[in-house]
Amino acid sequence: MIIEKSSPPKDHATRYSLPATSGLYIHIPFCLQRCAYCDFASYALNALPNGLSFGSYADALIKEARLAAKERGAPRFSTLYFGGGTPSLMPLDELRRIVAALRESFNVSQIEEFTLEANPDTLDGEKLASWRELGVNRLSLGIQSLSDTSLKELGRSYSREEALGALARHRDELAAFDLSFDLLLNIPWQNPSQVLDDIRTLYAFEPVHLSLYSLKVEPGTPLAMRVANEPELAPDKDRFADEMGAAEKLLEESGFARYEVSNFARDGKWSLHNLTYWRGGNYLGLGVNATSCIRGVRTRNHREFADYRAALMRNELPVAERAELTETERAFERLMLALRTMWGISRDELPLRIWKKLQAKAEELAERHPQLIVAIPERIALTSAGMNVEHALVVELAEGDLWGEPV
Amino acid sequence: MAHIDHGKSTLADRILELTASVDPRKMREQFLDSMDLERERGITIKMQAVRLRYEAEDGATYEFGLIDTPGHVDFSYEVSRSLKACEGAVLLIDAAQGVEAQTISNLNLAIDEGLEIIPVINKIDLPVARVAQTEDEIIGLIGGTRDEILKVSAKTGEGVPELLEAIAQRIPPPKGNSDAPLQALIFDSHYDPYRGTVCYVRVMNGEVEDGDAIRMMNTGKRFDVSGCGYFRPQLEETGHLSAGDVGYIFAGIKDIGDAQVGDTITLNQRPAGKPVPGFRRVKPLVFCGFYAADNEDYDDLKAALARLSLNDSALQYEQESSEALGFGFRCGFLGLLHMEIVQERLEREYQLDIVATAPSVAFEVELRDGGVQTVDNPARIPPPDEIRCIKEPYVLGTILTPVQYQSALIELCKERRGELKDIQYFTSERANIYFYLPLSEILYEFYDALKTQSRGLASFDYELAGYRESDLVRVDILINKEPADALAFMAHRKRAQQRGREVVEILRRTIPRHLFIVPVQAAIGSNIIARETIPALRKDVIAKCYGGDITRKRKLLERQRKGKQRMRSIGSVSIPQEAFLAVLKQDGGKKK
Ligand SMILES: Nc1nc2c(ncn2[C@@H]2O[C@H](COP(=O)(O)OP(=O)(O)OP(=O)(O)O)[C@@H](O)[C@H]2O)c(=O)[nH]1
Ligand code: SF4
Ligand SMILES: [Mg+2]
Repeated sequence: MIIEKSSPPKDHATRYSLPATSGLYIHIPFCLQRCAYCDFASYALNALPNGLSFGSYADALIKEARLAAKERGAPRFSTLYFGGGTPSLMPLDELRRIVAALRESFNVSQIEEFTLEANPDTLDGEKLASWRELGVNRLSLGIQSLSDTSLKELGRSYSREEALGALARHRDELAAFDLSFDLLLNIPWQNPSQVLDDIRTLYAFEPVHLSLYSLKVEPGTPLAMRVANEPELAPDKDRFADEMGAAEKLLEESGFARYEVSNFARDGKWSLHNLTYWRGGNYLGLGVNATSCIRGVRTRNHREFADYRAALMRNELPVAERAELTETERAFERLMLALRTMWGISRDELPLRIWKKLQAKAEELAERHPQLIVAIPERIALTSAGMNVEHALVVELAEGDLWGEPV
Repeated sequence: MAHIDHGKSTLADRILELTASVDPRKMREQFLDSMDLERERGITIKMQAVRLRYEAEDGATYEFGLIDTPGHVDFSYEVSRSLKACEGAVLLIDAAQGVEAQTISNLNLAIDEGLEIIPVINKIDLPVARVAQTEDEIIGLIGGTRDEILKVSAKTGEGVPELLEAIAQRIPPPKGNSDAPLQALIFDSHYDPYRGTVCYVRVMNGEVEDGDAIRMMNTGKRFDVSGCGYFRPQLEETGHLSAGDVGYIFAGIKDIGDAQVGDTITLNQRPAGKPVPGFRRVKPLVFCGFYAADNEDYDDLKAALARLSLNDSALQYEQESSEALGFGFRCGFLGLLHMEIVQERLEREYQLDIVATAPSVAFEVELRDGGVQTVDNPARIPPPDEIRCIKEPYVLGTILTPVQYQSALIELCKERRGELKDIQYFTSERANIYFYLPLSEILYEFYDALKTQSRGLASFDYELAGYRESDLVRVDILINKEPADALAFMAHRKRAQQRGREVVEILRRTIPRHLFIVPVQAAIGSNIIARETIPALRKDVIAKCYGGDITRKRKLLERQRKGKQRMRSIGSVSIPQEAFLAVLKQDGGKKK
């Protein structure tokens, strides 16, 4: 039996005040190999499409940065995030070129958080030192599991031994960064307590942040094909809730708070960059398939490198989709994103007419389901159990004429 | 007329061709099955009338009308009305199947009308044709000699010219008197959005012309004829109809209740003394509730039912309301196929999305206080302590089968609470088994079982045979402790628990998880006979939601939100339409 926490989130709300942030995201679409479950925009190094190389990609990114800066007037950013793919694969000279171009095009003098995603088997001493020099202060390490069976079935490129070995070898260099580890829950090839063992093992490297994602079967992936033939492998939602509950308990004992559906941090070391997404801040994304949202206009870049580069060749932004959100859509997004976090949503984040109806609904729901949702006059937030069923709660909250028009 | 699939519509095609009634470029198979539903299912649902011109071997030109009728038992009302407009009938029998149950029932209808009957064996082109045996069966049925029976292939056209010749020679011309006062029997109708009601009439006596002032003899309503003519099969305006003609009349009839099937049209100036005897109003046998999936479409559903019932006089309906489903209609049908067809027509022809409740028969409930109620909605059956007994409708069923399947079929009927009445043999290989059966027992999966047990060779027909007392109970379905009126059903006490279990199990699978635990129970009175639990939802959130995932997530939630709005709720539990449908499917089993 898992004890669900229902700590009133107002504590957090008063204890911390969150600065408004704006983020710059750079997508690096290279991986050593494609994992079985992955549908991200990324290419395996041994199967790069024509014309794509580290160098040509860096060139394209630099060009996009210049175009975007011209278009948007050299905005200022508070966070910088290299995500992928596997950004740690990027050769140092290319990475330096890219960062230099970003400095040239945007105002990044006040970057508070500079994250780079890395896989354990791509770490080396020289890279770690150079990343530091470039200003990287946070590493997000994709571990996923420390079970060899799971790593193999998931198609990861390293073993438990290799991952832990790399972390141990570079313990000192790693200590210079805020470390975050990604782990997967609900892996059908391991038993539910494996993730707890993995967390304990990883504590040795003193992470300040952990992301626990549920393994998801994305259509079109090798995993999806496998699950079609072996339905017993399909992720089980109850198991997720159990694993999450147990992991959360363990993490809380060590001072980690679940500040978002899948994210835990210690000492307020939240991912500021990601908080920008959840708090409706502006962000600019560069690279294939990257998305941006600036003042309610959302764009997505071409997913295929060929299309992405062709647009840039024509001196055009490589945007494939563009949508301007209505006020209602923005409000709905604010709600569904804010409720993912422990701060929930507060009165000043929504138009008043919507807030009033929402608050009344929330109180009614909180009365019926005190273990899921907390509503006080100024703020609505979900408990941990509530976060697991956030979709159903958002749907309940958004029912009826709340929004004045159909969303 | 014939048993289902014996080839009526195909034979009609050949006749249309030989009489050059249809432009060859427009010709297609089963031409008269003009409804999409008929074409998709390959069955006739509505009768179709056509006036034909035939040049006979004697050199004379004959005008005659042809009506293609449905074969399925649910639509036999269409046959019986058609026969009122006829002088003779072609009794068509599939050479591979022989005489089947509806062959006999349709034959009896024609004999009752005193029509000239021409027996015809069809599908003689088939290698498995059993022409000689089929002849024996026909002679066993109506007497006569082999050479009076025609043999045709509606597919190849072989024998069809001889059939046309026989029609011209054997079927007498209509008897009516054109000088007598007008009597035109309305045997069908449909609604035309531009011209109002189209009355399909058989003129028994007298004449009618454009501009005539007419009167409906039963309702007394008056109208002016704005057009009349023949079906060819498209409308051919002649401005005139006289005794013996089958045709249509328009008279600007907007209110569809004003031109009732079975009424007689006469002239206002010179009315006939009495109307033609109309039709025995058919009693619906199967009932269910129809609700618009979107409650806002209630008015549209109402209008659609009104129009559809004009074209389907066997359909009956009245308003009802359900706690779970809101306002809707209790509808009565002649059988499950009829119900299914009406639902599909509402959905296609009127673009409505319908939720149907489980079909039920009409029960007679005798109360302790001496009162008697007829209840066709299980949710309205009074509480058990007020009831003295419940009676349910029985049918007298006739099964025609090759003798080797006789004992298996008797077994089947016994399982279905049947009581054997008689067995007759009209040839040495074919048995006619008569059974009394509860109507409710033949509605569900009975045909399939019958076909399976007899390798498809047995056929079945039934007629209502009064009410009998049965040990019936109402099974209530409780969702989160609240009764779901639309899901209540009647069952024989011995079967109640089994059925209750099946229904709650289906509901457990189809009702999505909620934020709380939802018990689903089946109960007889206060006695719970089956129970399932839908565990609380514990996870639905997507784990990753970063910049690129936001739009996807918003759209997902919007869909979920809209989906929820379309669900019905009982207490605080949302029930998707599929749950109602699944329960219905399990009741209705496989349909034809
Ligand atoms: N081989 C062969 N097949 C035929 C013949 N006549 C009809 N059929 C086939 O039998 C099937 C049923 O024919 P229909 O004309 O639709 O039968 P029906 O009597 O109008 O059927 P309902 O209206 O549903 O009662 C079709 O597949 C026809 O193609 C025939 O003479 N020979
Ligand atoms: S390393 Fe990450 S981005 Fe690359 S294939 Fe695996 S899961 Fe996908
Ligand atoms: Mg037909």
